[in-house]
Amino acid sequence: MSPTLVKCQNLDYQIGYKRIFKNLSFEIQEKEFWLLLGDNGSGKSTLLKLLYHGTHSAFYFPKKIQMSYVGHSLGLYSSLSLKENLEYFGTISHSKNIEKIPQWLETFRLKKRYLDPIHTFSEGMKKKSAIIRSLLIDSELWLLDEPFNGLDQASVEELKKLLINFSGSILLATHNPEKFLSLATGEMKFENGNLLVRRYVESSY
Amino acid sequence: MWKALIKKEILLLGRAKNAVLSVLSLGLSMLFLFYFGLEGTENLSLSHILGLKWGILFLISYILVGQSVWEERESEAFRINHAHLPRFSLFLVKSFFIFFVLVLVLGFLQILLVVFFEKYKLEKNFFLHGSIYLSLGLLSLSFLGVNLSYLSQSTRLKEMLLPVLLTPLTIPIFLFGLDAEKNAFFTNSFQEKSFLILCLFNILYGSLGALIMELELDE
Repeated sequence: MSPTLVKCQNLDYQIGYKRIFKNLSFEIQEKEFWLLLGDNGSGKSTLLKLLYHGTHSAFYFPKKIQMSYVGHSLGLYSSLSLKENLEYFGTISHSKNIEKIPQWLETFRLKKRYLDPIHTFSEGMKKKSAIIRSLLIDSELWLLDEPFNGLDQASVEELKKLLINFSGSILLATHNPEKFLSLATGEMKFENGNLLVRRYVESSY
Repeated sequence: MWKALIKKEILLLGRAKNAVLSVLSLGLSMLFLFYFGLEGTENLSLSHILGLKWGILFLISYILVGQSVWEERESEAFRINHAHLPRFSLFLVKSFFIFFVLVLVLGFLQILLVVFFEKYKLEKNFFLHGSIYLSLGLLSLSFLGVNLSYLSQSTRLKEMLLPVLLTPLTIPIFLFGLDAEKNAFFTNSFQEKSFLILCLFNILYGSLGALIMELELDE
């Protein structure tokens, strides 16, 4: 069995009077690829945000891990240029991947817009910028919330390659699991307020 | 890290041309309004002018804080910041940056007040002592503004709630700050008691803000 990255035990969470999660438990080990499934509003995004913050007492991290996150919101300053954003987030996260930025810009065809403010970007370009921002961190766990929304076909393929070659674990919220069944090591599915956890195979550790 | 945070704040303000224009037009409009409405017919007393100055600075601090926190919230950049940086560092850098901008605005405002109002004279002692009280008051305003802006982010009203939260808590700062400045003018002496009280406000609002930032306020 691979070492555990994070263990969630009996997570209860509510926003206002609305209970979002009740007794939710799962575990993510090293080098696993989990699919997070469920209908709209089932709690996928909330779970990813909670996990990313990691401050809830239900989460147990055996060792301190780095996580990166691509959510519905970009996590970028829209008034600043892509260059300024990547430099800023690279510095605060002590990134060792800054030299890879030109390569990612090439991959996602953003080189020409590197100096433009984010608010001038299309939705797909914003998403690609957020993906590059998340790649700056040398993370052990990559949290992605429907990252393919708004991406063109070429970028979808590039992101798939990045997912395949990613060295850590992945938790991917998606409505199209069939594309990733060959890669995934398990799925977590929200059904009637419960989280059904099914491991397909042991992690590739 | 600190350098990156300060650079980010400078860049964000530099790009917020609307906020800078709002600050300028609001400050100038209030001055013109009081100058043509009151000073033209009867000279305003020093207490009125000092009150006007603190009032303008309060409104400007609200615009600056509101603009700055909107930038953090708009694309949820704060979420990424919180994952990598101690939250109190974000609070301190934003507060001190807003304080620094307010001091610049104050410098500009002092010149305009001397030009427009006859009874407002910047004598050496009044200027020196007044600057100390004003600086302490502005720092308290910045701490309080940034602190409450993060609280207001976790409500549905967002920045719209900020003035409602800000107004009652700034009244003590106004009372002691204005009083100290007025006394400094009339007695030409340093108001030690007011100075200490304003220092205490800074310690209180600064530590309270840093503490609140450490709490989970996401949803």
